[in-house]
Amino acid sequence: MIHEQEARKILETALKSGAEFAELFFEDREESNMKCVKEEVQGLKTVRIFGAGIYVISGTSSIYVYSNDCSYEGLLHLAKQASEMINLKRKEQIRIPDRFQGPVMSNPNPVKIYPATVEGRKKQKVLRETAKAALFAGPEILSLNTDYFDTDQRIWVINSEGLSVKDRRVTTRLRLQVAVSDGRQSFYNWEDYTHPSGFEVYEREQGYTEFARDMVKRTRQMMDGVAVPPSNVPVVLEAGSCGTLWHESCGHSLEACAIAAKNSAFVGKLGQKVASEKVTLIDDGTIPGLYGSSVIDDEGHVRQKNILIENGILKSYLCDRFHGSMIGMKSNGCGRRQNYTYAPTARMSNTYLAPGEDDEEEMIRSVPEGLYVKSIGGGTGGMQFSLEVKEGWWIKNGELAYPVKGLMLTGNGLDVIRKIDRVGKRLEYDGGGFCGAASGLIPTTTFQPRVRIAEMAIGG
Amino acid sequence: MRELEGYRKAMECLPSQIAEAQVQADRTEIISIAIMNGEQTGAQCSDVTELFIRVLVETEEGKKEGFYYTQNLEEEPKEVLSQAALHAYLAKDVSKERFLSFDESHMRLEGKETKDGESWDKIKKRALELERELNRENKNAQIMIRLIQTKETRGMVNSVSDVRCIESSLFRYEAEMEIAEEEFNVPYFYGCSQSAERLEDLSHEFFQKKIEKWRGMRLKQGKLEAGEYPVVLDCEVTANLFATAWQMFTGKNYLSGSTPYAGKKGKAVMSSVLCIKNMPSVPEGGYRYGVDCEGVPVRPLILSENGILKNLLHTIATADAMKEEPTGTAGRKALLSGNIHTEIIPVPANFRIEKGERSTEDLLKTMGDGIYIFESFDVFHSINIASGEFHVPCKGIIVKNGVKEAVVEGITINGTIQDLLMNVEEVGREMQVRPMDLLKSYTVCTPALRITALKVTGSQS
Repeated sequence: MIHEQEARKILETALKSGAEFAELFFEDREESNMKCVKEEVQGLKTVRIFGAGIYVISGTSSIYVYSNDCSYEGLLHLAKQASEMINLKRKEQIRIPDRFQGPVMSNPNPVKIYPATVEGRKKQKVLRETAKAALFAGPEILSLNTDYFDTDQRIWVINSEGLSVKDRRVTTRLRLQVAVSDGRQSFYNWEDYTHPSGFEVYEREQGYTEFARDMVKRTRQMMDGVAVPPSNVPVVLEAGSCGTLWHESCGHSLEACAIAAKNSAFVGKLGQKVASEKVTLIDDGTIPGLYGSSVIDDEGHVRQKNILIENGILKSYLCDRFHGSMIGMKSNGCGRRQNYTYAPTARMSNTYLAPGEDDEEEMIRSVPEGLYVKSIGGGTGGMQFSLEVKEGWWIKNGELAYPVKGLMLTGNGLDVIRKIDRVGKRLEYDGGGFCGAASGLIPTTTFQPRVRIAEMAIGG
Repeated sequence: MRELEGYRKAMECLPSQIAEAQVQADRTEIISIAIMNGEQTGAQCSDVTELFIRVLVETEEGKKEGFYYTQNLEEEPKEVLSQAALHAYLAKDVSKERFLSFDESHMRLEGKETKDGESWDKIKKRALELERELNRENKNAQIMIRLIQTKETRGMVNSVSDVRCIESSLFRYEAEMEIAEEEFNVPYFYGCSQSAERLEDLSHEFFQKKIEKWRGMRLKQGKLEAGEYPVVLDCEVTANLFATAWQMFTGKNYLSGSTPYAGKKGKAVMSSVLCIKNMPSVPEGGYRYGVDCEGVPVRPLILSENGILKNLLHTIATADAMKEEPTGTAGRKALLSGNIHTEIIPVPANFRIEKGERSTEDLLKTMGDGIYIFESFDVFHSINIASGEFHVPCKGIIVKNGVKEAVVEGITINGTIQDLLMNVEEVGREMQVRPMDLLKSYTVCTPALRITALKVTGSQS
């Protein structure tokens, strides 16, 4: 690894043709993965992600170059390439401050047991216990793949404004992929058990084995759901991970890259009413214990709490440095990327709807006919969004009548968030998952209290 | 590849516990440039080499496989091999499995070979030309063109083969276009891409046709009652469906019963007008594949012909389990493989449904009355590959007497992939080439399909 003075020379080389800003991003990440097919453990695999990226910005133009040759000479060559590619031919060069400095912050996700220090046999035991719990959950299982993953990512961001900051992010994850059968048909499902922490999360067996049993049982129940006719009805979304609604219906459209490309219904609407007054939407990368949290973003900015919509009024966008500047805003700690092979862009972290004051029980009780969504599988966002209803129940006369299946919630984000007519008092967190977009797969959470949409078209 | 030299030497004298070893090196070099309003707005340049190390270790419990992946090229080959061997002790017995020895014939690739890539200046000039042509024809729109040159080199060295090292190097060019415009104060946004083996084969006409087709969908809003309708699926929609549904054709899912086609090899499973293949290259795009990640050459493979399921996508292990030949479709980067690509699974190269002779417009005329589905969303979450069930959110157009009448939004097409493929009456000639999102490790190439009937839920008001 190069030292700070060599990094300075690399940054100076990148700025040579007159760019306004240059940044070096180093990454050294160790990951391990162990797979189990039904009860048979396949083996431990180690992954080492290692490389660096140089980001050069000037006005509305940016250059990103990256390589896994992290030698001083290799990086100098990369910086020269970046300078030539941006090709501004300015005589004046930005001066880098004499001293590099970085913020001192405490990690929102402290780690007790680093996974690399844990013997493979202990990881194997967790995997076996999880697979066993799934296999003996009850339903007939055609195929079961259980994966154990852990990640230990160390990054260093050093830039031409004199910032030098390091961060270390540790996560662990179990993934279950199961195909169940009732003898006539089969049904596939996958779910993750994610934690932004070290191996200490597996000290309590009940947590992960309960997850496995519950996941298989719910997958079997999903097979028995009844198709419902398409209709316009009230939709109640349960507290917790149903918050994916916010991620897909408006989160992506609030990212500065979407605003700059004019690919968003929120363009030019700052300060305007865009949602029901019951809606206060927040993105906060600082919350302890959540999958989307870290000390800094991937541009070295300290993470922060961003109020995006307050009582229905659009207050802010999610900004990284480059796309933020394109729309006249500063970074608010949302520049994120999967690894050094991606330039950072504006992304969500922990996106949630603030709790309201409505009675959770009344939300269902007052519905003569409608849909209750217990969990959402995932979806896509943008001006039009779609969400998979993983577990849903039909509401009849204010009560849950029968499970439904094969439903997708689709709509226009702006239309739907205007129709929120109830927001519950009890906020529940989400375990977290991955969001895939322009800068790769990044860990996020998205959660809410129980909410009701006054009317929504459903189909399946 | 210089990265493999150290491993080749290390394999001449392997540590005693290692019976066999194989190292795969994948080097990806990318140059890309984005142009908007005649100006360069962004560019990327990269050079990354990944090393995948597999070793077979003899233990008291049998032969076991160890794995290690690294991007740190400074690591000592001997240490890396030993590290992989350490992991093997926790693995299952793979005595019945094998590494494949390879020979030089694997390197004979289909398609045109490009010796060198194009220069930065030439790529930039072509991107500026494309953007200028499109701006000339679309004056009120905001257009962005991103042009990408990718060179992929795969090298492999193993300890068991007479020919210890093979190498394959392929170039491709890709242009991505994004267009934003307003009509009657309504914003519209669209993006698409084109790939080719040569830079000069990327054309603005391709994008202009796509733009005109996109604008042609702006009809008056209609309303659709739920029901079963004759349907034409646009080639973009079929590509979207098969970006997920190809998994129903893997040996892995066949063996575990996790595909509705399990046990149906040799049987009639779909309409006889369909021919589904896996190809090393396709004429419609620039994605080419030489050898898979087990050293097996990618060869043309018919998956289904005349309605009969003939072959499956295999790794060596699934081919052996079914007593069949490997198909050159062992990969690591597929759906759900996340960001750690350690497992070898069946992954297509170019998964292709052969095209027909008539245009989509002709298919609509033959359909007469029905629905033309031209846009679909999120097939990843809306197709169950074990049951084949799908519920895909879409946009469509009501067609009367072969004429497009009104757009319907918020509809969903429903059914099973098996029924859909069984009910295909005709295949169109326009093809959509869809590279897999983000990883671009395979493509799906599909035409429009005319279907006897499909369940469609009603439109949103």
